[in-house]
Amino acid sequence: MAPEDETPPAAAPGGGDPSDEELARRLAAGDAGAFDELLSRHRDALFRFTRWTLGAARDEAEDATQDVLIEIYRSLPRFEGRSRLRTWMFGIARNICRQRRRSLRRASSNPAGGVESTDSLRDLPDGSVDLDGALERREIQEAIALAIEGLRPEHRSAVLLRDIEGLSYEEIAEVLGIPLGTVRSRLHNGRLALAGRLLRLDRNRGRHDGMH
Amino acid sequence: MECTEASGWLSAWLDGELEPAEARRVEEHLAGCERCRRERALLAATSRAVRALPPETVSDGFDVRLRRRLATERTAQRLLRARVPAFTLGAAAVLVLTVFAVSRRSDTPRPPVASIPFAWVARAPELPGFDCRVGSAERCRVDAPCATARSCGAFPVAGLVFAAPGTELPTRSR
Repeated sequence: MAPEDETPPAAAPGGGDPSDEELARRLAAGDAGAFDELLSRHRDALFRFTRWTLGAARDEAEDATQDVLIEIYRSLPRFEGRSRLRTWMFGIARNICRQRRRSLRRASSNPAGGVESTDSLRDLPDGSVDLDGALERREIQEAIALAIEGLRPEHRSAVLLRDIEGLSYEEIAEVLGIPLGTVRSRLHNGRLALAGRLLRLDRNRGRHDGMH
Repeated sequence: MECTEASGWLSAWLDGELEPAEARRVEEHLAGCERCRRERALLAATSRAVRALPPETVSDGFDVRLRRRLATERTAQRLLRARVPAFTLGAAAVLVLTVFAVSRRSDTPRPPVASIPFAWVARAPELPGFDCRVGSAERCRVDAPCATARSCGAFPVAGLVFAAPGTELPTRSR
């Protein structure tokens, strides 16, 4: 039996485009345009990661993302190629987010964070689970985004890096600086918590048709 | 395999991140456990829900702000590369400290302005040029010989301009 979901494609460029690592080499050789190309590839992903990690409003997250990109620009000459450049850049974003959190003394940026529960999953619904059918509706997408924001930060980062950015477990471990086993448990617990939130949301809205 | 153990591996199984032997054990358990199959379906649906979200992007003004900051950063890096060698910086630091120490021991009255043992007039972020506040009509550039060195006794080191004690320093600024 094969897994139901394919691993999402990585953000790596395809076709004849130069690899991220090649662009880093060009930048080191003085080609400033190479950094612009790297920016266009990874800027939005780094912004999303920064925003989710900080649990911040857009403006604050964009400020932090600018810090991340400037730090990447400064540090690129020291990139040794021991990991993929994309992973390395997410690692810098993680460090910047940590510094910001410390400086802001923000114990928890999200009042809903840390209170997630998977208790509701002890009583799973019978039959097929059809969260997909409703996904085209914008309000549902917003509700899912809100549910993600309510996750604990460590779960949120793992879910985001896997399901939105498409990183492998090994890459997530490197970005977050945690063991592979911890990636597994964070991702699993994050998805369970998210599923619980979505189920509760569905029940609250009285839309049980697709779930039962 | 018990349900508790299988449950902990379901996400990794869905993502194809288990070793083949581990995956086989999960699959064997799933074949005989309706409850874990339901959990698998729920996890898969949740993962799809997250992936289906439209990717958020930066706002329109983001690139303009970033390019401005990058331009400043590039200028600073160019100046750093052109900066005097490290040993020169060290020698300058020793000179400044020595002059400062001697000046504190001297009984010679010092003119008010020159009582400052050294003074800096600008830092790197203000580069590439700035109005020199210690004399000279020239705009000061720390990556070039100081135009004021002979007239006012000031000298540039690593983005700062110093002036020795006893130097008659014009105080006007532009």
